[in-house]
Amino acid sequence: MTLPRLTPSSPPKQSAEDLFEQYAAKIYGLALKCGLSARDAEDGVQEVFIKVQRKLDTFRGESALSTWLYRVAVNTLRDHRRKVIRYSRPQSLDDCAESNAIPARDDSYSNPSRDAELNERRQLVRDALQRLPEKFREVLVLRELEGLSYRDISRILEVKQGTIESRIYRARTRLALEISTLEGDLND
Amino acid sequence: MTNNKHQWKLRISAWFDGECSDIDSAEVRSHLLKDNDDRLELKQWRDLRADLHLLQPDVASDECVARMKTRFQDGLSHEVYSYSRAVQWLNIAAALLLALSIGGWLLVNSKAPGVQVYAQESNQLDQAIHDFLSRPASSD
Repeated sequence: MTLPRLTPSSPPKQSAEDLFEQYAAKIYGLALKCGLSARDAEDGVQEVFIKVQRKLDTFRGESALSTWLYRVAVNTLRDHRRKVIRYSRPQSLDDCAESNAIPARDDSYSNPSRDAELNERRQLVRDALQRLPEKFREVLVLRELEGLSYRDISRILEVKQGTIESRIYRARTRLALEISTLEGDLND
Repeated sequence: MTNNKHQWKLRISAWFDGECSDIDSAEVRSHLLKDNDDRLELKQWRDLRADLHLLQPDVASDECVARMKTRFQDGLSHEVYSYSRAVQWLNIAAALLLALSIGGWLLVNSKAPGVQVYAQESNQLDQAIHDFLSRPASSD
């Protein structure tokens, strides 16, 4: 998937409010994937769009507006996540319930033991992802969960495409290792 | 790991992500047919991808989006209020600076010129002429 290109060569005609309407849900999803709880993700989204409002004038149309917005979002969410970890706000039960929610499925086919298994696996993968260094986690989230191309990721993170390629490979290797370590811990 | 092996791993990773040209893809496929270790690693990445897809969150609910929107608009109005207050203070500072500059300029330029010096000199000259004229005539 490549990012949709909005006014690629001209400065934006959109306001921060328009962008909010268009992208808020997506950025919220990105915040959850980056490991924020539902409540922290909402805070993160607000911070992202306030920053967008402040910086929108500086957008010169050198990249797609969506790429620029993702860049602001990734940087802001990264800072927000660090802040959250520093002050380590305890998650409320509601937060956990919302952020760990299983995607909605047809209830008539739900299988409690299968769901429990999936939840357990999901938690393990989430923990493994959280254990990765920031630079590895970011590329994996952008590639595997947001489905962005190497070119878009390199533009968003402002890193060479070759570096992204190698970073994704190393991130995969590291994540596989973390998952098998956590599986080992569970089996002990 | 040898450099060559590492290069292959990077190429396989890029191929796995659909980031290879047709020629590269063909080379990677033929390499995979020969290299069992890399095939196993590729299988591990497929499992990893499936695992990561478990993390796809629910789409944000309408309620959640509405809540975020309200908070964003509050934040925005606070931002605009702070900005307008900053502009207001800037205007006041600029007006004060202008008033001080004009006041200073007027003060410097309204000083009376040194007329009195000439008057004094003129008075002295008058006095000297007067003294000279009123001097008694010489007896010679």
